[in-house]
Amino acid sequence: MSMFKAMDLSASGLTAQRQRLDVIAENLANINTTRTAEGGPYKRKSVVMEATPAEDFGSLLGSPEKVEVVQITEDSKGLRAEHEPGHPDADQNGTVLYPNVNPVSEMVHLMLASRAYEANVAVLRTGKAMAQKALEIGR
Amino acid sequence: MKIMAPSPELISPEGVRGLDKTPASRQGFDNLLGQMVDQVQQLQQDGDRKITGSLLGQEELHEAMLSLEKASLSLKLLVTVRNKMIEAYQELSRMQM
Repeated sequence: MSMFKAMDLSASGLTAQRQRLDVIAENLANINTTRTAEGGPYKRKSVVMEATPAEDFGSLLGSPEKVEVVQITEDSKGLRAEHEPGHPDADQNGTVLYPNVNPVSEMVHLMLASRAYEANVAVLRTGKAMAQKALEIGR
Repeated sequence: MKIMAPSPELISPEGVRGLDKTPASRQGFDNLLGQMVDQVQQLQQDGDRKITGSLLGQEELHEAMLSLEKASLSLKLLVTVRNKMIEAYQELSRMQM
């Protein structure tokens, strides 16, 4: 049904925002991590979202596009260097590299993700209300 | 859910007047209703599967809620269509010949 199309599009938005939340949670949890499997401190991650056609061959038909998280990128710029000679991960100068996670900007991203999620839920609720109103026409 | 346009025989005056043509047109509406029931059934099974999946942590929570919403709305549509059909039948049965 065409009404379910709007629901599917909003659902893709909800999924994307939830994945964004996962990444933010990962960043904030690893705010002081100095060791990772690849070596070196944890590096801030962020999501890349892409618009993809909602149906097969949809790009040919000009169908609406849903959103999808296609990539999670790592940003290795701006690692915090602190002087802590007693730290086991310090180099020979006594400098420890800490992750480039900024709690303030992560909180802002968290709020943005939460608001975007709410907006998608509002669209869903409106779609449902419209469908119910349409069924009431016959009463 | 795809809703087919009613077949031309159903709308054309001949279809209503010509009693010999009724089997074909009646089958059209039967098909339509049958398809709707099938689709509602499918949506409900989908909802069941998604709820189980989300309880097991394999599916997104909102996907489960959405599929339940879809099932509920499509069932409401089906019930509305059925009520209208019964209403039309009662209207016809009250008709004075």
